Amino acid sequence: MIRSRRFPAAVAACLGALVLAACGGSPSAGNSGEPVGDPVAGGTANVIQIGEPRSLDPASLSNAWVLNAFLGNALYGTLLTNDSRTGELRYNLAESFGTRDNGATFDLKLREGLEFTDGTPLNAEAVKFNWDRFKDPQLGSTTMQEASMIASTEVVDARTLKITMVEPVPNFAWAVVTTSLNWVASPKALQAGRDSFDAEPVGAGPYTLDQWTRQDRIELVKNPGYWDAPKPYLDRITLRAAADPTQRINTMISGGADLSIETNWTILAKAEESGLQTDVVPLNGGQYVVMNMRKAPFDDVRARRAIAAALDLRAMDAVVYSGKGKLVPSLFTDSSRFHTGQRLATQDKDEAQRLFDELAADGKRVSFTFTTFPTPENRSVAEAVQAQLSAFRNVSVEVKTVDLTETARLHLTHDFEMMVSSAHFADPEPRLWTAFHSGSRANMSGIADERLDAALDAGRTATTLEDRKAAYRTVQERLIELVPGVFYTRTSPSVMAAQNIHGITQYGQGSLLPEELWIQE
Amino acid sequence: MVLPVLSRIGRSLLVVLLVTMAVVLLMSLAPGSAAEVILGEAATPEAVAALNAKLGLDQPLWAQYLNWLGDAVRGDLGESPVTGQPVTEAIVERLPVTLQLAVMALLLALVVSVLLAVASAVRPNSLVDRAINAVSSVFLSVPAFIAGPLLIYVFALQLGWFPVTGWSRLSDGIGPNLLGALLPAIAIALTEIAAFHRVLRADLIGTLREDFVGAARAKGMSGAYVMLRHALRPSSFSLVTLAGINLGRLIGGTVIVESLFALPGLGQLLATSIVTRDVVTVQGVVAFIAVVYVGVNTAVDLSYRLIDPRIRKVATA
Repeated sequence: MIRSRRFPAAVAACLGALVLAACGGSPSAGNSGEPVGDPVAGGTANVIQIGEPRSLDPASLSNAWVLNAFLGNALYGTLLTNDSRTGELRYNLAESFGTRDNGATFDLKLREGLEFTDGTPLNAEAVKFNWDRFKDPQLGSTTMQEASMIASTEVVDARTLKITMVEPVPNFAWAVVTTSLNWVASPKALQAGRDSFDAEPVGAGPYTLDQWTRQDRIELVKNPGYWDAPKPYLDRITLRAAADPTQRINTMISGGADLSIETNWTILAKAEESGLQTDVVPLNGGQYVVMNMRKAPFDDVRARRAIAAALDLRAMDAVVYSGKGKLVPSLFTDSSRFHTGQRLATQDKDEAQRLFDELAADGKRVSFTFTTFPTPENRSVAEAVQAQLSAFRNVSVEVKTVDLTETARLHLTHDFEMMVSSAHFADPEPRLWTAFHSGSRANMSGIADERLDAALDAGRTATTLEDRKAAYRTVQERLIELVPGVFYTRTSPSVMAAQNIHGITQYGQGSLLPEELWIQE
Repeated sequence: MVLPVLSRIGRSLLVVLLVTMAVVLLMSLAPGSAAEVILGEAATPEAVAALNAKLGLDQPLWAQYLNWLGDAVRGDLGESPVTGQPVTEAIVERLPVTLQLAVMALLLALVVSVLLAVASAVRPNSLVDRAINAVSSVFLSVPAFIAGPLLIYVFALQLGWFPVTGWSRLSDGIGPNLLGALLPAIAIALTEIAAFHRVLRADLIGTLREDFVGAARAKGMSGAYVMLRHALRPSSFSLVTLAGINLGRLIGGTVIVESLFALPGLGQLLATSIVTRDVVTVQGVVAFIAVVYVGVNTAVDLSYRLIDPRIRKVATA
């Protein structure tokens, strides 16, 4: 069982005119112990990540635990992070990041004397180069949406960059913390081209690339010029990729690796049973089955409510995660400062049947296809939904499996009726807006509600905590009322590690910091 | 002599051409493109179209194939649009892993199958022979995706003798390298052991019934001596042929085992490239595997002509 580490719910006044509202992350959970004594320098850690990157360009990496966040942090360091216990912002390569006009513009000030490992300066010009570059649609950057919130960037002096937003976003720091905006690579190295950059990526992170043998291992070696000496503590890190959760846990149990990034509740439970330590950042929101409101049958709210009332989420958890998952009773976790106790849909079989019958009587029998990717987890969810709904009259479900390469097309065409999606976040900004605002390209359900849009906009632009709380209360009301999807589990950004690994520190959405890790001999 | 040899080589090249054409056709039927994979969820139709044009994926299929073929015959298998790595470099990087696995599996299979076949053939239909046949049937019917996890569970997780995943290069030391390669090699070797055992057992039993074996026994030679010196060598012809052909097959056929044990070989490269719609890499790897497979088969065919004069005579007639 994952044991939660409870901490005071939130830092009180977290917004000011000059300080960003970057607090409010959920506390970490898990069974990882506190470090024993002072960190010890030296040693090599074998780390398992879930997938291998296509390129080491920060534009190709994604600052999510499941997609090479650890590697990005190792090579490029971080401008900002947050304390996942208190939500407080921490400044790393950045000395400050603030706004004087409620998020219309920001000033990013860098530490003095920063240098990339190729000896070129890490200055405001370098940050401008990186951030402007992320907006290029041809680059396919994972951060394009967040970078596009920036209208322009202007170098004020060598250490200061002025950022002008398209519209005021007081909480823009969260976009920096949770995306590749946090990583700055040497413009000179990036300009040399992809092949050259992948062979020798240049950042100012705690580690540099020693060797990358694709589909085998990435060898990182300590950067002796790292700005925050004596960190990093480990001399070397060897990264291998294992997409299969069983491979990851088996390798950990057999001692084949010291630490593994993890994303599966069942595996985390198994890790604890095997005496490994785990550390989870329990985010708000989670995984949900999204219903496409753009077309029948889910253009009728009764059909969506019927599905929400029909599903037994505990039974689904038993099937998909062996009962080890965490259900989503409300959008925000209990420890979030936005938690209001507003409950998401609960099971009511009679009401579900009544709605299915009513729709059938109106000539709108609920019949749909669940589009699923061929991952075991996705397929289990689809089959569980199909099995549970088969117990009702006037509803039928087909399961259609599509290849993972269909992801882009599905996001573009919205050619689905039901599928698995996710909306997880430490702070609701910017992810909640992205998931449910009618103006967002990533709004999978197609929900378009004026009150919801207004509340999401208000949550984005509000400058006081009270105003944000009020805005997100309305957001929850509208989501409960309109049921764009059914949340079935919290996301589990996590790591599992051997007992002698210390300094496990995650920020943002489960982004592990390599410079904090150390091994106790 | 020259004409039949050239004809055989010509037919082999045709096979390679047909295989690579089939790969292009099959990949074109699969949904999604490398451009969509590269651009991901943020892809706009304009960006996808622009990247497709940049990668040459907007050209007709036949034009893409001919371009690739033109470069391939000059030894340039192209560059992966997904990873940016030259395909030849990717193959060279991963070939040692697959080759080592294939060779280890083959050697293991040969050693075990010879021992089992000899034990079987000494007294056909005895209890020992029937027991070995039963084990052989089990090996033959257990696919690698079942044998692999079972081996991992017993020898890596329960006994802790081998690593679960990963590959140690020879530069890391011969010990770790062999330790990492042995379990996957066993998983591959099991079906080969069964096939080799059956072929050699049948040949051995036949040979042991020959008059010259009886004569050797009549001279008072020991059973073991007769088996090893007089029966085994002439019975090994089919086995050696089969082993040669299987080596070619194994170089392209270790996809499942490489995935199960997370090994950076050709199979893993091929599987990943298919998932990411990396047609250039898939074409390159398949062409390489086809050349190896067809090359081995052709060499075996041609070697018959050298070994057996009767085939030469039939061919010229």
